[in-house]
Formats: sequence, C-alpha cells, structure tokens
Amino acid sequence: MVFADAASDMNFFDNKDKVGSGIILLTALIYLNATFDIPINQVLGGEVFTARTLPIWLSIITIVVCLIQIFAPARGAVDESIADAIVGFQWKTCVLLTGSMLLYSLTFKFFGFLVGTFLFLFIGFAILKEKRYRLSAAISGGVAVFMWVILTQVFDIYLDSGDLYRLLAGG
Amino acid sequence: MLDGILQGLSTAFLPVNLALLFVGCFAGTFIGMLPGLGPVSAIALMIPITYGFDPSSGMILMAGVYYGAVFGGSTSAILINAPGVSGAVATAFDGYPMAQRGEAGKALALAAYASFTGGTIGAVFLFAFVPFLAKVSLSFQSADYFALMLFGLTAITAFSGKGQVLKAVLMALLGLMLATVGQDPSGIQRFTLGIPDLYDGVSFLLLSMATFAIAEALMVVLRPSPSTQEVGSSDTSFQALGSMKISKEEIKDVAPTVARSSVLGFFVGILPGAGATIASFLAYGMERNLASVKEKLRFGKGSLRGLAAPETANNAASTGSFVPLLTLGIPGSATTAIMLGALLSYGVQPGPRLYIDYPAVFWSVIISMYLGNIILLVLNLPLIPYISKLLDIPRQFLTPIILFLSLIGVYLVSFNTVDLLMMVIIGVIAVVFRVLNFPLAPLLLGFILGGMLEENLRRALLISDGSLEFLWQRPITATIIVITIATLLIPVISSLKKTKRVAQH
Repeated sequence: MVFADAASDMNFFDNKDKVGSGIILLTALIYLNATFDIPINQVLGGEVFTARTLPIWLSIITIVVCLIQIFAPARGAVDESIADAIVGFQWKTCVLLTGSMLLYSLTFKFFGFLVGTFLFLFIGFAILKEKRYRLSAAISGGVAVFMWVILTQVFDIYLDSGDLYRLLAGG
Repeated sequence: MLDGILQGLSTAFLPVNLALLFVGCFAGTFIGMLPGLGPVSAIALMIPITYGFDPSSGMILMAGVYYGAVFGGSTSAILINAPGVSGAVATAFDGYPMAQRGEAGKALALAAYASFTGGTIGAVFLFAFVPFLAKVSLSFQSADYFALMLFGLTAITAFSGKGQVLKAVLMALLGLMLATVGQDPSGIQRFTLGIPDLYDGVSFLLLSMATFAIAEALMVVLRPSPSTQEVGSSDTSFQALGSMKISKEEIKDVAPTVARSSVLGFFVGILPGAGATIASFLAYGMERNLASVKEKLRFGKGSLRGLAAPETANNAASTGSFVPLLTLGIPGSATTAIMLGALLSYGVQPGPRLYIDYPAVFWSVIISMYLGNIILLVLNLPLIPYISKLLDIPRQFLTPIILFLSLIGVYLVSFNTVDLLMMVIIGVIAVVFRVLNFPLAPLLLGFILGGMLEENLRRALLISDGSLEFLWQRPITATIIVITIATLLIPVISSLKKTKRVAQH
C-alpha cells in the first residue's frame, strides 16, 4: 500500500532512481527477449545448463530488482531530483567534445594517426574555450608527434599513416 | 615457499622491472594528483601499455601506478584541498589546513612517512596471510568458487551510498549481462547482433576505459567544480611548501596513531568492497575518539594525528585489498577488479593456484608493492615541488589529452576503429548513469566476475545433475552463501526501512 501511494505521488521522470531503474528495466526486457534467440546446442540440448540458463536468470532477477526500485517509496526529493542535479551542467561543451571523439573514431582511417590526433586535440582545446590558437596548435602537434615517435620508434608499433597521406603521396 | 619468494625477488629486482616500478610510481603520482582521476583511471590508462609485457612486469607496473596514484591523490588533497582520490578525502581534513598555515612541506612529508609505514606493516601482514589463505582455498571446489564469486559481488554494497544498495545491485547485474555477450563456453554466440566485432564479447579494457577514464573526463567537463576548472588559478594555487622536516617529538606523537591505523587499515582493506576510503575515514574517526579533549579540538584544523591516521590506513588498506585478489581470485575493490581483468587477459587465473602455478608473479607483485613504497618515499618525496607543477596545467589542455590517451590506448590493443566508437557510446551511457547517481564500479565488478561465475555455476550444476543442493551440501559453500546473503540483505533491509520512514513522514 505504502509502495503504491509513493509510486503515485512521485514525479517519475524527475527521479534519478526511478529513471535509472526504468532504463535498466527496458534493457533487461530487451535482453530477455534476445535470450530466446540464443540457439541451443543440439548435441547438448538436454543439458542442465545451456547458453540460455544464466541470461534467463539474470533477466528475471534484474526485472524483479528494477520493479522493487521503481515501486519503492522515493527517498527524498532533494537527493533524487534530476532537474536539481543538472543545474549548471555544460551540456554544449560535453556534447561537442563527445562529437569530436566520434569524429576522431570515424575519420581515424582517413586522416591517419598524426593528422587525426592533431585535429582532435586542436578541436578539443577550442571546444574547451582555449583562444590561444598558436599555443593550441603547438601542443596538439607536439603531443601527436611525441606519441607517434614513442609508439613507432620506441615500441615498434605500426600506425597507419591514413588514406589522406596515401592520396597525397600517390601511394 | 622459500623458492617462490626467491623467484619473486629475482623477478622484482630485474633492472627492467625496477625501472617499470619507478615509472609506475612516478606516472601514478602524476595521474593521481589530477582531481577526478584516481588509481582506477590511472591503472586503466596503463593496461594498453602493459598488454605486450609478461604478467610479472605488467603487474609490477600497475602496482607502482596504484601506490603512486594513492600518494598523488593525497598530494593534491594537501596542496589545493582537491583530493584526487576518494581515499584522500580524510587526508584533506587536516592536511589542507596545515598547507594554509605554511606547513605544506611538513604535511607532505608526514603523509609520505605515514603511507610508507602503513604500506610496510601491510606488506608484512600480506606475507603472513596470503600463503596461509592460498593453502586453505586450495581445497575449494566449483560450488565453493561459485559461492565465492557471489560473495565477491557483495563488494558492491560498499560502492553504493547510503540507501542505494539496490542501485549498485542493478549495476552489477548489468555488468553480468554484458559479460554474457559473445561466445559462451560451449561455443554458441550470444547477443552479438550479427556484429563480428562482438563475437569475442565486449573487451574488458574498452569497458573499463569507457566507464572510468572517458566518463570521468566528460563529467569534469559537464560539471566543472572550482577545483577542476583551472587548478593553477589564483584561488586554488598553493602556498610555498615550507620545510619538510618533522621533529622527534612529532614523530613520537604520531607513532601510536600510525601503528593503530596500519592494523585497522589492512584488515578493512581485506574485506571485499571496503577499501581505502572506508579505512581512512574509520582511522580518522578512531583517532579522534581516542584523542584527549585538547587534541580533539585540533582535528580539522591541522592536527598531525588527524593527517597521519587516514594516510596510514589508506595505504595499509590498499595492500590489504590484494589479499582476496591473490588468494581467492575475487577483487576487493574497483582497482583490484581492474587488476584481476588485466591478469585474466595475460592468461593468468588469480586464486589459490596462482601461488603454485605462477610463484614468480605472485611473489614479485607482493615484493614490488613494498618496493613501490620505498620508491615513493625515497624518490617521489624530494620531487614533490616539481611534480606539483602539474597542477598548473590548465584543464582545457589536460582533458582532451586524457581523452586522446584513453581512445588510443584501446585502439593500440585491437587496431579496430569500431572499438573507438563503442568506447565513446559506452562512455556516454556511463555519464548518463553517473548523472543519475548509479555507481559504475559494480558494473565492472559484475562484468569481470561474470565469466568465472557462469563457468563455476555450469560445472557445479553438471556435477549435481541440475540440483541446487550444491549450494548447501558442502560446509564451505553453505557458510559463504550465508555470509553473502547476510552481507547483501542487511543494508537492503535498513535502506528499505529508511525510505519507508521518509515516505511516512
């Protein structure tokens, strides 16, 4: 009864515990559904422990724990409010930096280690509001070259020079 | 045993391993000093570098980084009141007031000596306890191991804040789910979505780098605090270091504190999940309770005993946390969880067999941990004035470099750019959970223990022909299961009672 009352009183979408548990519940349901797609080894089909056993147990336990967490009474609005927790968050900077990481990952083969790293660092410094562009360029270039030397010359690791280099060098 | 120790000594004293230990202590101190980056991130950053090493050298480097990061965390706590690691929070209580009154040098020296003593006493206990426990655990069977893995998972209760045990349990379950991605022990593909890059499962390195290094750096950007914006700015820059000398009277005053805190720290460190943070707070509290009324008033205002207690305890606890890792194969903390993952990636299975099958790894790690303490004291302490210059590097340069090192660290192991994309995506998901206040360490713990848990459960069920009787048939299994249930249920019940009380009021 207490659980039901608390559940009806709370603002679900402003509660860290409930939203987090909701996300995990959704994941567990998708996971449980995918569990039934796991093929059963025909030779060992009758075994007491198959590839599905643990995933099914895990899904069920996770769903139960999520439901307990979702329907348990909220602890305290101040601790759990998402709106309060994100006050002052610098979303734009964080999204841009994440975007630059994705871009680095996607263009790594094209630009190669040296150019890609230089661009990633330079853009990263700019996103974090560094206005001294010459200094940024010097540090980005310095770090990229230093790491390239260490990895290729000291550790003898092969680093792809990138499609751009091959395009320009005609290789 | 003597043979093993000699093998360990000869491995630890190889010039290359001594050099790695020195580099590890030094790099760890640097990374640990940066607010937001602790031993977990420091070790995660080192994993790609150690992939090509032999297990002993890799573990020696990581042990050095671990101690260095713990020491580095205390340095920034004392100098700028920004503990680099949670275990150094209690250090800041009295260390920072000392720095404010111009005694930063003395505070740093005392912290180093206290850490050294805590580490030394911890290492002596480790020598005494580990072989004994390893011998006892040799009689363990798969059912006992399954129970032990479950017990290892109870470490999550310590990672959760007050009333948040269920959240930690959920994150551990998520980690266990992630561990099932890829090929199962019978060769069947699970949850791979037809993506060839997932056939071998999610890489441990990728997960640990994404959840700790990337998520940590993104959180610093997302939620900048005064101590992490520009550490060298005028309001946070530290005073002159002052003298590093400690008088005989002061040593006499803190000696009993150091002795008590070492013992307390080591035994707290052994408990799964308790770790350096809890040890440091317990030691601080204990010393405050034992102090005279006059001394009690000095706590929080620059008391030497208030500084020595948490510093000793967190180092002794760091040593203690290796006991369950080396003897039972279960990590006692997030840091040792990462080390367990690293050992597994070397093909070394930690646990009682480690002591027999890999005596050189086993003993060289223990010996290196002690050597790490000596290096920190002899080499790092005089270098503190120079190392602390790192705190002057502006955040806008440091954060992208940390992100780059994390990304390239994962790339250098797989040479696969899909891993980089996965890492960024997992990093973003980790940030969402951080914002929602869901602890990430249990996720990693669940992921690491998942494989071993499934393997031992499979074996135990096959032996018992599908019956769950194996859970209570052997006294060892039953005892571990009872302790596990008690460890999990007690905080859950008290948390539910508390939330119910809050709701009723």
